[in-house]
Amino acid sequence: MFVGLRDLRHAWGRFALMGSVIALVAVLTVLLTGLSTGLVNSGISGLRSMPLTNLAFEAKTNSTFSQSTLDAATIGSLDRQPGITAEPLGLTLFNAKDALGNSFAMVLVGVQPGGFMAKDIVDGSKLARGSNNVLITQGIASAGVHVGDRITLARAGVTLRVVGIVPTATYGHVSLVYAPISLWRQATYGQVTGGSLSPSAQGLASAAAMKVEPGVDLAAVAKRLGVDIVTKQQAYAGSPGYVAETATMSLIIDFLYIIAALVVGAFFTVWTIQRKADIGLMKALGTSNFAVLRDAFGQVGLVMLASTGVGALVGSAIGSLITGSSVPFALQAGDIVSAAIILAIAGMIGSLVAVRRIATIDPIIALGAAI
Amino acid sequence: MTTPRNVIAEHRRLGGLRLEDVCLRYGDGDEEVIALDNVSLSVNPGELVAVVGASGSGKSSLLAVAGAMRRPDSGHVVVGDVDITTLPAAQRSAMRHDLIGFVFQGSNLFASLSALEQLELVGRIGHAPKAQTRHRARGLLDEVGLASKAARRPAHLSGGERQRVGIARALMAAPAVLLVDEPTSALDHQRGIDIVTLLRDETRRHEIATLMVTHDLSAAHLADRLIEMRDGRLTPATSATAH
Ligand SMILES: Nc1ncnc2c1ncn2[C@@H]1O[C@H](COP(=O)(O)OP(=O)(O)OP(=O)(O)O)[C@@H](O)[C@H]1O
Ligand SMILES: [Mg+2]
Repeated sequence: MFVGLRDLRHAWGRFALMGSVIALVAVLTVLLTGLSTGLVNSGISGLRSMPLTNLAFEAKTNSTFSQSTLDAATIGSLDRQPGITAEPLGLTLFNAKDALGNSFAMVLVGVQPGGFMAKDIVDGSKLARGSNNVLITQGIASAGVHVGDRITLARAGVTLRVVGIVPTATYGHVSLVYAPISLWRQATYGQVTGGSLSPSAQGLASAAAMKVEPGVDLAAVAKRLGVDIVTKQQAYAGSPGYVAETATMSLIIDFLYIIAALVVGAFFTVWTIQRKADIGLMKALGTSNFAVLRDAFGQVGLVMLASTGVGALVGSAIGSLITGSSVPFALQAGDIVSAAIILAIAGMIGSLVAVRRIATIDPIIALGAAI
Repeated sequence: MTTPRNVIAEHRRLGGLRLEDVCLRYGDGDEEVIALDNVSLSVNPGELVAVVGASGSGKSSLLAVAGAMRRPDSGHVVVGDVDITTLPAAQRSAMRHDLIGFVFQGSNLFASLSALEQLELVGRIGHAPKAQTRHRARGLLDEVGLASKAARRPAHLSGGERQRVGIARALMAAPAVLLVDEPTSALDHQRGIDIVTLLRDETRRHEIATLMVTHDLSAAHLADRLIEMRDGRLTPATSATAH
């Protein structure tokens, strides 16, 4: 890279120009990666944190909580299958009002007090069976709701009392509120008039949370009981907007990689044309094709490395400013590094278009005549 | 497989430059141009031979064939004691470094490299040890009178100084043959005379076989031998070209 390095120093302005374009692409990539992870988190972090392996939904409901209802008998049958533990799980979106009358959206999650779902979720506090006690997440708490406050669900005519706070968890970008399953039923199926739950609603849940031991033939169980059983990961797709969001984000990020490849390819091609005389001269002086290519690629590699490095740093700096704000944003070191590496590789791939051009430059051009 | 370098070193001085019945054609059919027509030429070590000729007479073609840049259609090209006529591209590339020094028209230096680095690059191409390369590069710059300007880039050198750097660079790998293309074209009369004089001195000092192509008759007359090229054929210089 004897000539390549000195070219970098000599024509640094041109390289800085291309480098800053790549750095900007890197900044965008890092920010979008963070946004993408943030969106995923706020779409499914509540579900992901639940201590279950599988979920059973009512058949033909696309495995979505809002469409599915299971009765106590079905959940009970599931629980009795060898290798399976099943509990009722309720999940409904509500408009709520806090003590000051401010409204906010929340997802009321009904779990069985004393069950395996409650143990991990309640984080030390207790949800008494049949009470109107709920646990809110830190997300809601930071919006000004305190332990001891009352939350009203106007539509359902139900009042909840906050008894504890659990780590932030969201589903479909809405914060969770944990309640005993009976309270959830009251809120979801109860009369607006405040009357008691109709007998037909007794024991209902959105789905069944399941802990399944390895080797259980879930397909057979699902067929026998007439339910759909999915893994936790498969259930993410049922989160509102989840599939569309992740597809959109990865499409944008993929486009950024393609743009980076095109930018570097175009720059490098023009640069190679400009360097044609120098490359011809190197070959006339006896530099092998391999050494000429190594020199040229070393040059692009250095520019890509430096500019993606700077871009990733700037991107993570901006990201750390965004983190914790209302924008869903989450960055992990691994994501940043892999985004930078993919970007650098995309640039190198883009620069491959110039290889043939470099390889076919005839040393005879050093003699000046176009023979 | 390239010829081992120590073998080249042993044999390089022996032969100088020899072209035997070399033919080079461009195009084919009606378009065919015979650029070199049965050219035979021999330049001995320590000898400076000048070739003059009208435009299109085949001077650049002669350098291209002698410089392992073009393979002749027939005949033989021998540099030092290596017959480079039919070598594959990779080995011709190695020969250009190991056996041949080029002095290009308008010097043809790298804009981003200092005078010293222009020479060091040749050492890098030949994988020579760095310290040894630098020592030799400084010595050669001193030889062409540019020791004090080693750190300058071409943009900060005069035309004559650039050409001197070009000559020093051509000597870096201790070649058997020096091929010189219009060395005076960018220089005024006196600078041109100085450069060719330097070339002649270096040719003798390093015992190189030097072939110089030029339009500049006063420069050509400083050569040991003057040859005229006409329509791809070599003839001893006529009185018309000789004066
Ligand atoms: N690539 C080519 N294709 C076809 N014909 C060519 C090519 N290169 C050179 N020629 C022809 O070969 C002949 C010799 O060309 P060459 O360049 O060797 O001449 P020259 O003596 O160097 O001329 P000048 O003094 O103008 O540089 C000319 O007739 C030229 O037109
Ligand atoms: Mg010519």
